[in-house]
Parts: sequence; structure tokens; C-alpha cells
Amino acid sequence: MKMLGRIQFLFLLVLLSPAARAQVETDDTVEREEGSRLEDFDRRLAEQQGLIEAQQEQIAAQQEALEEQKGRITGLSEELEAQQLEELEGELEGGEHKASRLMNIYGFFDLTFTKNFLGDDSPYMIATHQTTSFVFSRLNLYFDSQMTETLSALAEFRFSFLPHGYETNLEVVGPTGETIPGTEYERVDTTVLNPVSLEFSRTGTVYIERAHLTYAPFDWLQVLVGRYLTPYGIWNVDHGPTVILTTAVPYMQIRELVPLAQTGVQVFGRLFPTDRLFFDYAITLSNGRGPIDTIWDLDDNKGVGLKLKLRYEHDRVSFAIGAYGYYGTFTDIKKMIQMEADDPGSLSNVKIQTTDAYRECIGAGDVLLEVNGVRLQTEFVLQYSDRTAATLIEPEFLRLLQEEPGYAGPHYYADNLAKSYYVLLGWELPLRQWIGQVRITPYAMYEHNLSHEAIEMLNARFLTWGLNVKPSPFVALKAEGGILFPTEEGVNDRPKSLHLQMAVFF
Amino acid sequence: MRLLLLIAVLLLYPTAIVAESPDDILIIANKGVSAKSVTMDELRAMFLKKRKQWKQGGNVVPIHAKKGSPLRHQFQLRVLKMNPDEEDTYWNDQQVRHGLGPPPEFGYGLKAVFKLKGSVSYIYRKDFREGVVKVLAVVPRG
Repeated sequence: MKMLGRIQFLFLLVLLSPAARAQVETDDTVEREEGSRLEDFDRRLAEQQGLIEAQQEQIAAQQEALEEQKGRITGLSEELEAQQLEELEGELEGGEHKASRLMNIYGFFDLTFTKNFLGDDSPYMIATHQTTSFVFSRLNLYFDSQMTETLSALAEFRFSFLPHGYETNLEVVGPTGETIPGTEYERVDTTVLNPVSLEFSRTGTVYIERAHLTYAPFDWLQVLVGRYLTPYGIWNVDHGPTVILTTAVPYMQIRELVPLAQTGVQVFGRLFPTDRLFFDYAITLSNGRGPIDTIWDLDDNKGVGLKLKLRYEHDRVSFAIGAYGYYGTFTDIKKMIQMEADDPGSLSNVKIQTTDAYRECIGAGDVLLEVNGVRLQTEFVLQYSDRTAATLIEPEFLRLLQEEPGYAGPHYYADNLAKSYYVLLGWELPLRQWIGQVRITPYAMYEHNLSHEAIEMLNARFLTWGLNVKPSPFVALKAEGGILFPTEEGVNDRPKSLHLQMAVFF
Repeated sequence: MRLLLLIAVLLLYPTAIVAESPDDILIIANKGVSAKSVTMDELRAMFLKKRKQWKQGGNVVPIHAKKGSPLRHQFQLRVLKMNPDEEDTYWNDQQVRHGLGPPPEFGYGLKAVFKLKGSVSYIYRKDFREGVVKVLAVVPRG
């Protein structure tokens, strides 16, 4: 029995030992595999660490290079600022001009989508069209330079597609269906052909809005010489589409009841009764108004004007009241060569004949109140013109021609008192906390114009309303509707308009 | 007695109890400027170029901090009463009306004011150095 037990034990041992051996072998294999995996892992870890270290070295090198760049930029920036400081300093010491004075160039333009709603036989179609259209009316460029501390120059140019498309004459058909002689329809066409490239181009205009030199030694005394905007009112000074609320200037500006610009000299200045009160004055001396006043005055009488304005400002409240008075003469002439019977070839007898002349006296006033985004502004103008020479009025002449065919007598242009005013109310909505820096201003304007006592068609009342949205300081988007109320009896048409405008300052 | 003295001091010098902050804005001017102080309305008029001369004489040279800097932003809000977009709009409008552009800007206001006659600018109190420029006003931290 014991033997059997031993034999069984031995047998078991023999049976188990391969398994044990196998187990041991398996364990060994596992161990070896584990070891190999660990080694592999260690190797890869070492590799990764090596990579990380290499990358860290790279980053350190890049940071060093970045610091070096920053240092260089700071140095350049300091150099530039030192240079700018030197230039400014030079201006202050005796006003010496420093080389390479930069000129600033900037400007504005606008594009308007417009639709006029006119009756089919509306008399207002003389001046406009009733089809929808995109209208690119102007591009203004400014060139300004501060040459020294007290001397500066400014030039403003308007680029326009005009006179292309300008209707210079309308055909007039009499009651019997015959075209009245001398009244054929004419429209300017500036299309030209380039003889080299054979391309067609439409030429436009460059118009000098203003160009002047300003000498400003003191706040209270400054002198401006050149072509300048008449310093009256609010709109004539604002005049750019990114500044004014509406899509167009008021009718009093279009009718030029006050000369919008003058060529001559202006002495102006500002006094400070208190820190919040500004008192402005300006004295203008110019060629006045004339058919070619931009380049020549056709009479010896100069136009003189005086502006006074008081303005109060504090925080978000401002109030301004101003006035401008002007006196001048308008003269138009024609030149004739009087040929002598005994010397018909002589050109020495030149005669000047006055074809139109009047004296004008103008008074204009303006008020502007701004309180927490609400803007109320109004302007009025009274213009009295005293005719000093007989002048033919075309509409009157045509009427007389119809009544008496062959009429050749004169008709005198009467003295005239023109009156015009407008009131504009706008409110910049307090929506900043919801829409950020976008500025939204609804507005409404009423205008009353009596430009000419004899020609009713030039007189009208306007009601305009709209929305001005400024998504940025450089762009203004406007949507505006308007109605014209004619004052002429018998004119039933009340033209309406819709304008969508984008104005850009750059 | 000491209590009465303290009350008297506080009544006579109320600003003494206002703690100075390193973020206060100091209005600084070149030492050649005759003015000893400037009101906020006067300062605003100078930086908006509505006033070009010191009351005591001499031309004003306003110098802004760099556009977009926190200092410039604080000055716009506390003195000009405008946010950055409103200031941009103001200068765009002034350029259309009068051809008038904004004042120059420098990153180192203290240095600029030290060098330029008639200049006025603004810095944080923590950046001030005694004896370099004169202080005309303090705009306390809002």
C-alpha cells in the first residue's frame, strides 16, 4: 500500500512535471515578454523624452528669438517716436519746416438707390427722372497739410460724372403742336473714343470745392485765404454725407440762397467767455456771387459778410445759436467789339454791356440743441435781391411768345424776397447695451421754401423722414422717404421719393 | 481736543481722506507751460482741438496715449465723455468739416511731454516721475 502510494505519487510527479515545466516555461515566456515590453516601453519613453527635450530647446530658442524681435520692435518704435518728437519739436521752435512733411489724404463718397414717384405729367420731371436708379453723385477728396505750427493748407475736390447726362435744353411744343424754334431737346454726352485703344470713355468733372491757406497764430485771430465754404449755418459746414443725417442737403442749400462758397479772405477766431462757452466770429471779404466768381469778379463791389456764433457744451448737452449777414452785388456782362465804319478791321473798340445785375442783402440764422442724443436743429434764410439791371426771364418770355408770336420786347426781373427755413429732429436711440457701437437715429425734417415770388414752381414745402444707421464711424446707411408739397396753384402732383443711401468716409 | 482737531482737518481738507490710487490719471504738462491747473472742460476742448492755446499764452500740443490702450480708453470715457467709436466719428466729422485731424499719439507720454514745449498729456499715477513734468490735474480712478 505504501508502495502503491509512492508509485502514485511518483506517477503524479512525472505527469505534473511537464505541466509544471510548461507552466514554468510559460511563466518564463511571459516574464520575458513582459520584460521585452517594458524594455520597449522604456525605449519609447526615452525617445519621447528626447523629442520633448528637443522641442523644449526649440521653444526656448524661438522665445529667445521672439524676445530679440520684441526688443528690436521696441527699439524701432522708440526711434520712430523720437523722430516724431523731433519733428514736432522743430515745429515749435520758430516754426521751421521739417523735411518730408506728410500730407493727409482722405475723403468720402456715396451711392444712393432712388425712386421718385411723379405723376405722368408732373412738371417736376423737368429736373429729375421717375425711374428707379442707383446714383453715384460724388466722390470728394481732401488734401491737407499742417506745414508748421501756425500754417496749414486744405484742398477739397469733388469728382463727378457730370456734366454727362445733364439736360441742357427741353423741347417746347406750342398749343398748335409746333416746336418753338430754339427749343430742341439737348443732353450732354461726354462719350469719347480713345483713338489708340478704341475704348469708349465718358469723361466727368473735377470741381474745386475749396482750397485755402490758413494762418492761425492765436485762437482769437486766424486768417484764411483762398476759396472757402461760407461759414454760415450748420449744413453748409457739415456738407458731407457721412456727417449730415439726411440723404441730401435742404432745398435752401440747393437754391443757394446764401453763396455756398466764396473766393477771397476770411478773418475768424474764437473767444472763451467761460470754459464751456465758445464765441466764434468770422468776417468774409470776397468776389461775392457772380457767373464766374470762382475766377473773376465782374464788378468792383466785393461781397462782405459777418458771422457770429455762441456755443455751450457740457457733457452730453450742447446748444449753439448763430447768425450770418451778407451784402454783395451780382453782375453779368458780355463783351462786344464795336467796329468803326472807317476802320472795320480794328479790334480796339471793346465795349462791355451789363446783361444782369442785382444787389443782395442776406440774413441767416441757425440753432442747434443736442441733449443726450436728441438733436433739434433749425436754420432760416432771408435773401432780398434788388434788381439794378433789366433782365429777361425765360419762362415769362416764353409765355409772352405764346400770347404774341414774334414778341421781342423786354421783361424786367422783379426785386425778390426769398424766405426759407427748415426744422430737423433726430434721436440717437439709447440701444448701446444691446447692439454695441451701432448708432441708430430716426429723424424727420420739415422745410418751407419761398425762393421766388414770381416763379411759383421754384417754391415748395418738403416733409422728409428716415433712419440713419452707423454700423461704424466710417459708414452711414440711410433710408429716407419724402413728400413735396408744391405751393403753385393748379399743380396737384405731390411727388414722393424713396432713397436708400450708403455714405463712406475713408 | 484731538478729536476736534481731527474733525477740523477733515472739514478743511476733505480730499485728504480720498486715497490715492496708482490707476488715477494725472494730467501732465511740459514744465514750460505757465498754467498751474486745468479744468476738465478746458482739457476736453484742447484734446478735441476746439482750443489751441493755453489761457496764459502759448500753443497747446495735446498728446494722446496709443489708440486702443487702456489709458487712452479711460481718458476717452472720463475726460472726453466719449467711447472709442464716438471719438473716431468725431474726428471723421471734423475732417469733413474743417480738414482737422486728431492729436498725435505716443507710447511714452512722460517722455513726449518732457521734450515738447506747450504739450499736455496724461499718464497713470504709477508711471509718474517727480521733477520731470508738472501735474495740472488728477482724474481719480472711476
